[in-house]
Amino acid sequence: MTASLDLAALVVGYVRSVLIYIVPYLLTSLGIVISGRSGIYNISAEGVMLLGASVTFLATYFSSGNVLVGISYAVLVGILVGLAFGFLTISLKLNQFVVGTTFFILCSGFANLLYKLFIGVTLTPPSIETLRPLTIPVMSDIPYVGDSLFKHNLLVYLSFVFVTVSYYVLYKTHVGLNFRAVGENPKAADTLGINVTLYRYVGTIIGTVLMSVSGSYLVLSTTGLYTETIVLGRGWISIGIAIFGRWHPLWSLAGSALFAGVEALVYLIQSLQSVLGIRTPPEFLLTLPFIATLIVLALVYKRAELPQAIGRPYDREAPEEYA
Amino acid sequence: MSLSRESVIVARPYVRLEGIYKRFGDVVALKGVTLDIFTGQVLGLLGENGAGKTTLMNVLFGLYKPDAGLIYVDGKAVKIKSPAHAIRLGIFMVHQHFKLVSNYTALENIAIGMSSGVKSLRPIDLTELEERVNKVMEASGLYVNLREKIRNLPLGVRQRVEILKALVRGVKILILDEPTTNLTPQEVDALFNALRNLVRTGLGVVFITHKLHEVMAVADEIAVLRSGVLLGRFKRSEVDQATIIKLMVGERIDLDKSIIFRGFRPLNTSSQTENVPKPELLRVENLGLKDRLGTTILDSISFTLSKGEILGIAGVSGNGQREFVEVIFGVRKPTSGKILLEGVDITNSSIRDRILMGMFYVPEDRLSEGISPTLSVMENLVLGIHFSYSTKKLLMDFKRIRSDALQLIRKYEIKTPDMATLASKLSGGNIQKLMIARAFHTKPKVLIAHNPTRGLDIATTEKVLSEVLSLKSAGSGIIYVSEDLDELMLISDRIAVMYKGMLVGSLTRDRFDKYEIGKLMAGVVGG
Amino acid sequence: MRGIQLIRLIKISVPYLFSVSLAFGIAGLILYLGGYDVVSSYKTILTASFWNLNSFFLTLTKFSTLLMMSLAFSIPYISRKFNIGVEGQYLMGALGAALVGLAVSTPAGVHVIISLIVGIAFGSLWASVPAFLMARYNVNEVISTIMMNFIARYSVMVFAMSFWRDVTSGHPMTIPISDTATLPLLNSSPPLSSGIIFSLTTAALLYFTVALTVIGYELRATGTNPRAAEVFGVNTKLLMPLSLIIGGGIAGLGGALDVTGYYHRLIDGMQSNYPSLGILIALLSKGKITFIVPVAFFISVIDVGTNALQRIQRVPIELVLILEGLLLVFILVSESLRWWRK
Repeated sequence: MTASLDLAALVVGYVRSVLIYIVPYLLTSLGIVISGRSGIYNISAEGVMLLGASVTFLATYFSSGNVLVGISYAVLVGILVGLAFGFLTISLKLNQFVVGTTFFILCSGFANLLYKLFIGVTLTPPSIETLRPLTIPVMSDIPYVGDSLFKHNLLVYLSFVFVTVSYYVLYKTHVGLNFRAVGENPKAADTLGINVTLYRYVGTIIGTVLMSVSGSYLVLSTTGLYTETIVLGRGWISIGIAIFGRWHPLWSLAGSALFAGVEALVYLIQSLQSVLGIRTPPEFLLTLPFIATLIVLALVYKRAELPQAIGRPYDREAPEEYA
Repeated sequence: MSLSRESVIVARPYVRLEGIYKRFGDVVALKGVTLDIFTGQVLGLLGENGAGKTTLMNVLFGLYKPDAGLIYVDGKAVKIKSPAHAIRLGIFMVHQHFKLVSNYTALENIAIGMSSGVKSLRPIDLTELEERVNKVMEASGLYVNLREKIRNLPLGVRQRVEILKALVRGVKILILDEPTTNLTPQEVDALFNALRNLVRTGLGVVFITHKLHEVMAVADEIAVLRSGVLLGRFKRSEVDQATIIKLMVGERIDLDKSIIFRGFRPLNTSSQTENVPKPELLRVENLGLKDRLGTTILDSISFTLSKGEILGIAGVSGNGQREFVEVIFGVRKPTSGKILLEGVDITNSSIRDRILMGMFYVPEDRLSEGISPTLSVMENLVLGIHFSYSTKKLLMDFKRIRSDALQLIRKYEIKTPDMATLASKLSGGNIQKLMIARAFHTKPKVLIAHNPTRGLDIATTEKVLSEVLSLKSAGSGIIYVSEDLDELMLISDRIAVMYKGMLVGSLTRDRFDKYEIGKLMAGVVGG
Repeated sequence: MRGIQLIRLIKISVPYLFSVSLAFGIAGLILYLGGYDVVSSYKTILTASFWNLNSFFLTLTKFSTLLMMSLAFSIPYISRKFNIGVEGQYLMGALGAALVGLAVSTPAGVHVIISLIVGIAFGSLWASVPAFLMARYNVNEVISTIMMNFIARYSVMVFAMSFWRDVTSGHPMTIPISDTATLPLLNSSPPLSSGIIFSLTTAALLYFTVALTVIGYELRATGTNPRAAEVFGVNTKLLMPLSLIIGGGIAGLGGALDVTGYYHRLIDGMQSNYPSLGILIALLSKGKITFIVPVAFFISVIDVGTNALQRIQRVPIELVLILEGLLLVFILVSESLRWWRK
């Protein structure tokens, strides 16, 4: 009797943690997908997430725990970063990988700089209160399912809403048709009246805002702390998720679930190990998500599909190929 | 063949371009051009490549801003800010490069940009649009399977999608830039018929081309452009070909010695060499290529190429020509079949080995495959044989490269400020000359050329064609792949046609017939 | 004649001077807002390297590391590949050298050489995984090399805390490597390792290879237009992964030089901010080795200065990263604006 209950509790706990861990991957990969669909390949995700985390922490801390202020600052910073990134890649037509690498380094630097300037080095790091879970009225009373699915904080539910809305807008509306055309053949879209520059700026900014809020979530969800290593490669992995999700919101959802599953598995194994008294260096398990990324990327290469114009700047006056 | 010559006469031009100037950097592309465009007629805009025809229409279509000049549409002065603006004014341009999203269906492509504002957030429903497009298809005679993805449609059909985009939006002026490039002769006729139908309903068409016989077939009036200057506008019925050619070409070309303008006079080959069988140079047996998914791309191709022979390969783009030349040159390995060069099996040899054995290649896509943009002109000229300039296989002998490059730049008249200039700074025509120079410098036994004169002006085209003919006289074999049937008929000894990955037909010079070849290009087999 | 050339020189350098001033200006603003004394901070940043022989030698040591990092990024960059994995390759090279220095005993003369060779080998091997994935499965090298970075970090952590752990130290690190495995010093007091000779030699060797050899030509052709190079017989399918592996070897050598020459042990986190600084140096120099050398020196001066500033005035060391990053952004912007003005 106790054995089966333990198993059920284990599963419920596992599904619950998957939903907790899925959010950063989901939001960031969604941001990368949306930018990518408009033609902009933004690899600075890891840095923008860290910056969002830092800004959220500081804003929340200094406004006495007001989470709304924290997230608003993250959104603001996301917009500013998006404008800058867009200016360099869309208006100045600089190489998107060079800009992405630079922004990754710059945003990470700023994130840590701000934290050190405002908080400095302390013996015990300050913390803020984490988001309280919202229990959904009827659904959370369902045995097992209720505990695992319907007792999460607001951002978890919001991210699923974002994914659904993104899919609907991108694939089921005229705006989405136009938007995706910008990423596939901007000259075609331009000729038919679509403002390619505007669409790309919007795509980029939505991307960076999602990345920034994803960083907010990291701070607000489990620990309530900010550390330099809080993102821990999730930004990069999310780029991988966008790639093997073929730049599609729903496939990115699946990919994010996979990696959240891996992360939850790592913690599960660790707690099992402590229960069973097995000692292995924690670092072995922590490399699992990264190795998994390499394996999945290799496995799906045959079915890779990108928006055809991604990564290439658009110049209306540029000569045709056979000039 | 005759097309009905009805045209609707209108008093006032729908579009007036006045004194249009446009420069790109140091080059002045348009020098004060004034042109009227009327609805209800086909205006043929004629000129060699580089004359400024496309540039002028790009200005009208809002892709370029003129440096000086005025534009009047429907009597009102306007500044055309973007292609979208031009469309709102009733003007649409179909470029040589189709502006279609290959992953979308034909209908989806037509739908782009057709809904805006808050309405565009509604769920997509294209049934109404589909009905409208069906009506337009019936009225114009241009039919397309709207539910098919563009990437599965042949080029001729894709062109129709482009035209439908315009018609559905109710444009008054339709501009077509070199529309016959990728059509079989029969498809060209169908297009011309459709255009005359449309003109009868009141549409105005501007037909940009460098081919005289096309404007003579379809246009009501002809405007001739040369070096950015409008030299004259004539009613087609009131002018003769010789006058027009003179205007197009100017004094630079000696028409008696010209290859392009001699019509179909036979080549100056002595009758002796006609009868002596020439030794075999290249033999291809049952060459086949399948892609990763198992689709057949090249299907059992067999032919031989003799010394001193030009084998012309005709066909509409997209029938496997690119894969064909790539397999022969070694860029791709075939899945079956054999290639023998002077008896030696080179089917699986590397590109470098083929170059060492005397093969060379002029690829069709000069910007994406022809040059290394941030390397200097000098370094580009030796790409492919660069290793032969090394001492002890390691260090590059730049002195020798420099002197060879100097010779080549002079001989092929490549316009460049310095041989150390980056290749990307050269104009398209000069890049093509660089690729030709590079190829001919290796004195190849077998030259594979794919659309080598695309986009070149008349003088340069003459030069390239005469170089090809001298290479043939020197005993080399040339595989000349081109979508320009007229050009192939000028210089080839034999013409074969590529259709859906197969090499069909092999006509010797005495049996060249445009419409027979056209049938092969369209896949009509036998009689 | 001289006058015209001088004017041209000034015209060309204006955007760079402008970018430098703007970058320093913004950094100054940050310092001001953070409540630091801007003027004395700048003095420290720019002069700390030259205060005494000790600080100058420190600058040279950092210069050596930064040089190796940027070279390791620049070789793949020439063939258009982004080797963000220099961090992991550096760490594995360091780990390999530490392994030789701690666990392997060889005749005294060759101990160092073997350490360095093993460092190169480990770095190359570390890069060969992404190189293979790129060649066979078309996996984007940015992501794969970064995944390897994380795995390398953990590997070093584990190694530093295992058999050879220095238990007297609070921070995870190994005990010192054996004396025979250390690089000879150029100067004993203050100490300057001969590592800098190795790094400058590597730079010179790479420069000659890229500019003057056939393989250098082919590498450059591959980077500028892989398709054209491939069509004309250059083995791009081999060269692109090879350039990654060479980059890995260079980074690995850098790590080995630092372990055998400076730290004399493997320390968790020894890569510090060098990988990021090195990547930015390579991007600032557009991959050209002739620019990398002076730029790397300039950045190491600033790095030493910022470190001194951190000790004296508690200014966060991120300042050097931000300064460099802003410099790169402004230079990229001013270069593209110059195009427009033409």
